[in-house]
Amino acid sequence: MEITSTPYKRCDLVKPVGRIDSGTAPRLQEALNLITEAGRFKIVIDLSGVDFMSSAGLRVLVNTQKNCKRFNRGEVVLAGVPSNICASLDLAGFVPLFKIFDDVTAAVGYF
Amino acid sequence: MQAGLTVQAARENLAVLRDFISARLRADGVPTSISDDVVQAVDEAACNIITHGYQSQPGSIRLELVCDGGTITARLTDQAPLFDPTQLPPAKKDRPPEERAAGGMGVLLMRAMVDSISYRVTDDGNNELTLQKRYQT
Repeated sequence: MEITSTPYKRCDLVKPVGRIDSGTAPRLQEALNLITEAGRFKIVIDLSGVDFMSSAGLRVLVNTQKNCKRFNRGEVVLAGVPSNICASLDLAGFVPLFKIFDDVTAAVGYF
Repeated sequence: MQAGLTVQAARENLAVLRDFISARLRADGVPTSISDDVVQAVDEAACNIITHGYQSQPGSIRLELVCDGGTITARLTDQAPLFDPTQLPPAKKDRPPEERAAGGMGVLLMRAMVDSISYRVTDDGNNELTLQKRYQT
């Protein structure tokens, strides 16, 4: 899995590419922690390049969302969510937790 | 089709198990939507064996994969202390999602992706978890 982080004026874009399982999920969590530890809590995660995500990856998304929404300081939104990951989010009951955008432009524009 | 693979019980090897299943089921003409579900279920099951069974100590996991007449069977065997993942409580979906992120999600996904899951202790005292999924041929 490769991760690129791009800071924008009003939010940060994080794009993991590859597979997020319990072996690689800690690296995604670290990349997100770097942003939140810098005091930035408005994050777009572009999942369009992710072809597999296990529950370990879902846990990273939820943990980061909890952290970002605390004190109303921000929010994690998702973009380009592949249908299989959307199905996993739904099965786990996490769809209500995230705003989901078709593409990055719309997601970045939300902030 | 019948195939098998043994890997060390390490998180880095989850990808090895997934690739093995994908390749074998694809070669057998199984639709991707079906094989993706089996891949996800086995990933969650193997991850549980590494985390809860071996508790991240060294060990091995044996996968046997059989595809026959519209039924896919994935059987995982390990020598970890006896542990029945079918007894793990699934995540409670009636609780607010942000309150139940810690555990149970893997079991929930695993159960949702296949038609049946069964556990038994083999004659030589190993854990054996069998996942089955049926599909239209």
